[in-house]
Amino acid sequence: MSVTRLAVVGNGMVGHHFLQQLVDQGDIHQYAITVFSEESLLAYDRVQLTKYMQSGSAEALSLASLEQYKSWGIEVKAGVAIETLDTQAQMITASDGTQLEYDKLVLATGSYPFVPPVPGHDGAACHVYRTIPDLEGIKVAASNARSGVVIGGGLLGLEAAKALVDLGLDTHVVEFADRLMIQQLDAEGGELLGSKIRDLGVKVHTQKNTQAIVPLEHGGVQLQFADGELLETDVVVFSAGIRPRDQLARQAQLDVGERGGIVINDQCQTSQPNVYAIGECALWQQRIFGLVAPGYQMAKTVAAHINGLEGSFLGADMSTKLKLLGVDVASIGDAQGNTPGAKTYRLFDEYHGHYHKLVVDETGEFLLGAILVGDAERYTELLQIYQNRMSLPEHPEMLLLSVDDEAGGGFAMELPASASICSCHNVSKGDVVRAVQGGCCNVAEVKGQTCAATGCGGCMPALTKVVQDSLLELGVEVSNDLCEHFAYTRQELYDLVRVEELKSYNEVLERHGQGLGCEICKPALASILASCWNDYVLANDHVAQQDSNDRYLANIQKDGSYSVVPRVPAGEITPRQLIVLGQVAEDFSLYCKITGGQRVDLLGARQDQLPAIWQQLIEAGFETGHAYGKSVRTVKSCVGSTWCRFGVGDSVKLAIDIENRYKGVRSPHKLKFAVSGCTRECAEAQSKDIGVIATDKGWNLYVCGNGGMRPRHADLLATDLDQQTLITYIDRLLMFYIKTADRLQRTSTWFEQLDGGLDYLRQVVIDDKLAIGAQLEQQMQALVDAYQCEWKTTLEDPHAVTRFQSFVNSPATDASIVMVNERDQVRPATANERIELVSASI
Amino acid sequence: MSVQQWVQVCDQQQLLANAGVTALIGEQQVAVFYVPANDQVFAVDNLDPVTGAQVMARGLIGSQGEQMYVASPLLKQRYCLHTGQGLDDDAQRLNNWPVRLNDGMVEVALEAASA
Ligand code: SRM
Ligand SMILES: Cc1cc2nc3c(=O)[nH]c(=O)nc-3n(C[C@H](O)[C@H](O)[C@H](O)COP(=O)(O)OP(=O)(O)OC[C@H]3O[C@@H](n4cnc5c(N)ncnc54)[C@H](O)[C@@H]3O)c2cc1C
Ligand code: SF4
Ligand code: FES
Repeated sequence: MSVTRLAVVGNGMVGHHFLQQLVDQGDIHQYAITVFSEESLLAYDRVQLTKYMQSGSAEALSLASLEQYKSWGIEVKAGVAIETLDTQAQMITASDGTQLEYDKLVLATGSYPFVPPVPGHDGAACHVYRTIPDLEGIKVAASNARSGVVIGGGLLGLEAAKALVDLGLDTHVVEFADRLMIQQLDAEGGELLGSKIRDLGVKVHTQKNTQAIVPLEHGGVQLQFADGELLETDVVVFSAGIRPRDQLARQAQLDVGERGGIVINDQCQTSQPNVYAIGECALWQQRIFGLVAPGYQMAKTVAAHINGLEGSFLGADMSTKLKLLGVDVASIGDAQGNTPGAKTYRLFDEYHGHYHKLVVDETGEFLLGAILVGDAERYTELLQIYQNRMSLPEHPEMLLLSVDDEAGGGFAMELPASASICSCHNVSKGDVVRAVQGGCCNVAEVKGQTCAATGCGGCMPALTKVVQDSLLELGVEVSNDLCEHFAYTRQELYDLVRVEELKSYNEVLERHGQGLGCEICKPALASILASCWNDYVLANDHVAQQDSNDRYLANIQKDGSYSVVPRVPAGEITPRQLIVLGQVAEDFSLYCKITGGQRVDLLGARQDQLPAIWQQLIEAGFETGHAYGKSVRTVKSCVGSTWCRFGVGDSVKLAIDIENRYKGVRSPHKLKFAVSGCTRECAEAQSKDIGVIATDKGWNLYVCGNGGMRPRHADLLATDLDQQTLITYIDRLLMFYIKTADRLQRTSTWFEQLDGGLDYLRQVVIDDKLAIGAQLEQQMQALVDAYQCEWKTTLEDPHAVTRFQSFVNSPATDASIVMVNERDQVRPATANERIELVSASI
Repeated sequence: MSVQQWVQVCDQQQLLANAGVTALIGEQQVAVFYVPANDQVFAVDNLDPVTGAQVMARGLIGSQGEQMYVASPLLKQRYCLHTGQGLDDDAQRLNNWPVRLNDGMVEVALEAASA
């Protein structure tokens, strides 16, 4: 059998998803596939495009890679457009002259931004917003601009406005209609959204028909509107709708719609059955779908059809939930109430700035559509009711009220198995339940297996609910209790400790717990107590609950010896200190290694040697490095502006200040910081819990990054801060984390589980929405003020020092720790070596 | 046959409430744990059977239902304090010895192998 030659034109989100579907559905190697991508970048996440403005990282958005395609046996031509299609010869011709014959062809050419042909629309100040190069262009233009205008107040226009705000421009939105988001919202909803966005400082101009864009002499342009008004600005971004890219189809005389779009049937075939069209270029029953989820469904349909499997595209739901400039907006189904006989329920809460509307059918039994502005917590629930045609409750008006935080899915278990949970990846409730039955034990595992919630993320609450309910059905109890000794979560215990001012583990156990405790609750409470009161961790009340490393203020090694890591703030160390470290290591025969955290690890100390070692270190001015604690480890730093020719900020100085401020603070897990002197980022700040990068205007603050087993790029929380504001934000963020995270949860996982994500974190840390900022700062200051070097305190307490003796009843030292030499240093003897050495010594 | 011989180890004051200390009895390292709630003492082998390191006295103790245990400070396997039986791995166990508080002193009976 000859191999089917398959050509794919366009490597956008949908084109890529199609290839992924072929892989998922079966043996992709039965096809000889060639992909043409006009953009030089392979598929990336256009939905998240605006993130590029902050991260500047194309990689973070990337969906496909050459290596991956290669492993799938796919040939990729990047930066090459197809210019002609000959359906008779079954041949396409590319911009580089390549000609290729195909057996089957998939058009996934997407759409282009529509630019109204007003005079001046093609001037240098004018941009569109669709590709990474578009954004690069806007970024460059914004770098010496003051203000920017977005023409078009639809969904994409507001995305673009967000980007301009992030770029620091005085931002305007110009809309032809009398309100924003005319496609999705009604008059009240659009009005409310407009006023909320105005409150954020974005100027919204409605009923403005742009007639000309005139370049000004001193740079910039003047927008002239039909009503005679004028607006001057430096940057213009058009977002006046999209148009399907159907040129190839037109040229090849495939059927296209009157207003554009390649006509397809339910199998996504064009008028030539071996040519398919999918995504935003396709027209199905007179409709173009400008969202990614319907495109993905088309991709799946075509993959199935080519593989000889069943499947049809039967339209898709255009419901959306978005956060536009920080405002929640959602629209479901027939939001405008166009269905004959439709009736509405509405709630306009001017006080909180919420607008909720339900559109129900004549009988009042079924939901036809909904609009939510200002608070979209009910979105998932309403969407499920709508999509699954569930009967409305007796009093549908109750659904107008806001719900408390536990968003989504009171209905989850009543949903039929076919109910869609994740529309981005078309995952049904049945798929989720099967994943749980198949052994997935938590949301993360179900995500990994089904891809649910890995697209826009909007389905997370519903997914969580279904997973939890399914676990319960299987008899797996999902308890958030810390352990069998405390029927509380970590956060509840933290609050109890604070509010009741509990000072010791035993007090907490007596009041709120039972049994003897265990290796989970003891260190967890020891950490909470330290985070609240910062007492000396080896005080009599605390010593027995410390995890083994904290109990000896050192890290235990595989043979029972310990490592010693003195603090070296920012990695800056004097020659004298280096000599002392070397001297101590020689005196006690310790193995030396430079750590990954810019300091020196001295390994192989016996428990009984630790006090003497620290005596010498403290005399030379060292402090404990807390390498053993769930607490601040290091603040890594580059050399910064003092030495480096590129540096724009004194990263070493800031790193030292930060390290000295937060050293000793105990938290749910360890905390790592870094400061880089410029965007070259030699200190790798974006992989840290707290990362700071110097800019020419101050400091950019990145948060919740992680290296380690599951690396995560940090998110940019705020830009161009002065040092004092920077410290305020870090204080608040860390205390908020300490207060609300689970035990042993790094900031990265904490952040990922935080409802509301980065925007919410900004509201708490920057806008102080919860009005706890001052309290968090004051709690942090109390910890900072209570700092002590635990080793110094220990050495001053003879009773504490005796606990380091090897044996209660003998001054002997522990003979089980045996070292051998290797590469001029010591290392623990292996079991066999030890036997030999010990028998030789007898 | 074996005989029980109580060896005085240390003063009760030297024990650490709800935690362990290490005693050296001859060549044998013994981990001694003290639970003040019901004035109980336990003596088990200090040797962690999984890693071969002498560390058990530095482990955290805890309870699971009525059962009291110690968790290795290295890789956290748990052993019953009464019997030394491994709770996470049936095949592992710690040696354990009779121990008592006698007039403010801690006494352990290492089995003296009879000649
Ligand atoms: C010494 C060092 C390796 C080295 O020789 O360079 C090291 C050694 C240990 N690391 Fe690490 N980590 C060291 C840098 C790192 C780094 C790099 C960094 O900080 O820039 C990472 C990745 C960055 C990160 O954490 O985000 C790292 C990720 C881990 C992890 C995984 C954490 C995660 O969230 O995935 C663990 C396990 C854990 O903490 O649960 C770990 C745990 C450990 C422990 C504490 C394991 C243990 O409990 O015994 C090691 C004992 C250290 C000791 O005895 O002194 N170590 N470890 C580094 C000490 C840095 C310092 O000066 O304090
Ligand atoms: C800023 C922004 C925000 C968005 N937000 C959302 C959202 O929140 N939710 C949502 O569902 N959707 C959103 N969308 C829409 C979503 O991105 C699109 O629906 C989706 O990308 C469509 O995928 P596609 O593959 O059909 O088209 P595209 O992703 O545009 O890909 C088409 C590709 O084909 C290439 N191409 C075209 N012609 C040729 C040719 N002749 N030869 C070779 N290559 C060619 C193009 O260069 C392009 O790379 C957003 C879009 C933007 C721009
Ligand atoms: S991050 Fe910038 S300032 Fe720091 S060392 Fe690297 S290049 Fe120099
Ligand atoms: S609905 Fe978008 S990720 Fe699930």
